[in-house]
Amino acid sequence: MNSLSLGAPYLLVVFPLGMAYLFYVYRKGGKPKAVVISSLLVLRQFEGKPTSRTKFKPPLRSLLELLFFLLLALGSAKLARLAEARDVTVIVDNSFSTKARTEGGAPVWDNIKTEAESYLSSLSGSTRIRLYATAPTTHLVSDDSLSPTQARELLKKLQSEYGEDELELLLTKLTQGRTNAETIVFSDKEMAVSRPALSMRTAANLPKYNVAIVEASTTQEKVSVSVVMEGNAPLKTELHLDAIDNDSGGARVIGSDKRELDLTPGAKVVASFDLPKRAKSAKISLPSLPESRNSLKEDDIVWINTSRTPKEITVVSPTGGSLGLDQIPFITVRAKTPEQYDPSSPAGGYIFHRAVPDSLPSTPSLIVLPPPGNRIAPTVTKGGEVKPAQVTRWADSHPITRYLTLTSLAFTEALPLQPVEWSRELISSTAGPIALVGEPLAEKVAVLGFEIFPFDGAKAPTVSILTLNIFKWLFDTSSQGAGIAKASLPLKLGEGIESVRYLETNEAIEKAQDGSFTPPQTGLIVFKGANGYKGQLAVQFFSERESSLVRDPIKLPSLEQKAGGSDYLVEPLSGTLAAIALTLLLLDLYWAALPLRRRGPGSAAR
Amino acid sequence: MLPPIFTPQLLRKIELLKVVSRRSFLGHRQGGHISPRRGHGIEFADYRKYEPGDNPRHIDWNLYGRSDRMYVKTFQEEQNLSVLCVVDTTASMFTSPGNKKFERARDITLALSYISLLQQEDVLLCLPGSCPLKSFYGARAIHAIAQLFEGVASSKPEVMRKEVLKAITGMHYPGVAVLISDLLIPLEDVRNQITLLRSKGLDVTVVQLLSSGDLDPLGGESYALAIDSESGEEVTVSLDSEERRAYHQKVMEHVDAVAAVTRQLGASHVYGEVEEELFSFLSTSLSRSGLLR
Repeated sequence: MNSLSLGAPYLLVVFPLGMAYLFYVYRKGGKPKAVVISSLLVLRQFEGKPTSRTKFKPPLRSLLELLFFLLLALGSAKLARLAEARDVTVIVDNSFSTKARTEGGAPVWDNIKTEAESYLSSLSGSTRIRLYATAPTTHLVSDDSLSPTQARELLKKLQSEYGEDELELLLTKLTQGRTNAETIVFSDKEMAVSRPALSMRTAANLPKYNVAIVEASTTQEKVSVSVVMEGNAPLKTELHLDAIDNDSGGARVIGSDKRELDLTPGAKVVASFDLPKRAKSAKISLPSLPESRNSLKEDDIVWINTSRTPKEITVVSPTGGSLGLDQIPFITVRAKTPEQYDPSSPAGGYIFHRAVPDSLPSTPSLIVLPPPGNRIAPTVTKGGEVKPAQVTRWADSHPITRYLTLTSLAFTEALPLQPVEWSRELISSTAGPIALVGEPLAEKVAVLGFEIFPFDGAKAPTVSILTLNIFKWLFDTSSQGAGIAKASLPLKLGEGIESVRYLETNEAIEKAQDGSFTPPQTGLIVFKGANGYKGQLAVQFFSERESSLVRDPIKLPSLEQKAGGSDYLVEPLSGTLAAIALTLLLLDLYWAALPLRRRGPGSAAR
Repeated sequence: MLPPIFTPQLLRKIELLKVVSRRSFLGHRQGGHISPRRGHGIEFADYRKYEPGDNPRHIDWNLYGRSDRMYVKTFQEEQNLSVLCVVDTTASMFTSPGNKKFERARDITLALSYISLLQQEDVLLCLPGSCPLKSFYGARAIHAIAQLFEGVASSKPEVMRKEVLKAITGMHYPGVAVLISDLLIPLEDVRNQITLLRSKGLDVTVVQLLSSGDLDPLGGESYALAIDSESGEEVTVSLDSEERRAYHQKVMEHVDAVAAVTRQLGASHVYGEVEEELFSFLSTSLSRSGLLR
């Protein structure tokens, strides 16, 4: 049930002011009583304005004017309807797994879309909706709050994409934001809902049959492939490998191999292949799967790129060690002590660990825990005190921290940093800024006030991802001519790339205005620059997680419902009301501006 | 039907009055006023030489005896008088509460007409907008005149000028003219009106009638939108007690100015107020002006 209220009640002060003005005007100069007299011959000499009136009888017009003032004041004060205060966050999972076909043959995405549309149709027109989609990356479909109709229109345009969902991450982030909104998730995943304002609609009718290549890796002429099946009965199938050489112009298959696989539901089967020496890439596929066992065809093929162009990173550390960075593929690490540091020697980038050079090198640099009182950036440290720190805020939009949740990240020791002219805060903590980024001298620099080394991968996942993100941002490790890209996501391959084509079909990928390429599907792409061949990249669009149709339910912490948010919906009536009142008032003022003296015979009231 | 004010007592008193003119006018029937025409009157006028055909009764035999010449005595003839009453019917005459100003003008006109009709004078009435000119004779005609006043509506100033001109053009025998008006108009207009009447050689008497409303136009209001009854012009005015006195003074100055213009043009001016008693006005103010005796 709605009730009326005012969005800006202080503007109602206009009303008493207007009333006082009207009273004043009529007291001082209101229209007097009309008296018909024989002749103005003599009286005209006494014409003049009165100084005051002894009696004040408000004419009917003043009442109308008061009404206009009231309307104007109400309009200006934004007459608003107290809305139901219903904010709904709708999350639609359009990740890769929603491409899975149901028993009827239709994609799961259709079910999700239909359910979401049906839900949106059931909402009242005043409901404000924030619509999220999960693929190709989790994003807000429209920055504005939407009406159910608008949301339905946008939903119709959404497609199932080749991307992973990050539902847990998104829901956690929403938990930290506005909490009074109802949240409803439309997904093919199951979710253990423990939030009162969160509900889940899982697309039904999803077959649990799928065979997927969930992992493929290559090491020294060996290829290792993991295959998983979901279903209710064992299955025998073949796994094929085609080795490809594309070094001498044109792609050609230089060798093929296959393995018999005995798959049991839920079990992972690993197969190994020998790769010919000249092979630069390989295609691994499951060509002979029965239709009924393969809900997702897209995860039946994997491309492997074997060519590597390692990027050389110089680590400058008092220990002289590589800080575990040699675990990271596509990076060649050269370790030096501060004494051995020579800025003139070429390097793809520098990592200064507990050390700072005399001047910043002309390459991207990562400075971790800069020692107090250093010469290059003396203002970087603030007192040099090491404090315990709990992360309070981070830059959501920065490539390093995008899609990361650092809420629970706490450091027993962190060095608060003093921001400098070229820097911006990346991560803030209870102790102050602990991560800064910037681009002085046109080179990227990141300064961390906490320890991230030695790099040991999965032991500290958040820090590891953060480290890899830093590497990706600083040293551009994703576009070094080798690696894996994801389908549907823009791919920046650097300057000078003229064409990008699929190796197998020679299909060209168009270059976007910002210089990026978006490969629409899986495959091996080769890109060429002005100087000829540059490199190749395997494009995948699935992960093991998305290919698995039987997944652990998402579990979210319970959350107390909080009140808050805007309860007002400003009605368009306010503007209309104000416009009408203003028009009438202007007309009235026009009439009032007409002189009291009207000349001309025959106009007198007798 | 005469208005109620004309009680038998008032009529008996009025009957004693007589309309007089300051000079002689030709009439068209025998009456009580000396006419410029020589004829069979009582009043000796002159001698002239006898001519054959003259009545021998008019020969002055005494003079013949002394001078041996025959002279005939001539007498001034006594004829009736034409009395023209012009009543202002413009809107200003109707603005007083209860139309008192026009009523008083009517009463004065009826009284003058009654006196004139009793003396066998011709009464000509001009009510602009209602009755351009109509002639009455005989005492009984007073009722017809009274009837003409019923249902008179206000007319515009230009209508009045036009019909007054028509009235004097239609007068065959000049005589006395009485203009009854408030004359709250510019002096130039006053001059024009009197000149128009004087152009016919009439013996003009101007009766300027004002009401208390003309002397205190806003009544109880100190601040009002005054609307001219004739032009419709509106003026916002505020009058305190001092200004009211000043206004009264200004109006009286206008009356004096009108009187001066009237006298300058050889006419008589009589000022009257509506509230004044009728017989008193007739016997005092109009007698003093020489119109009544």
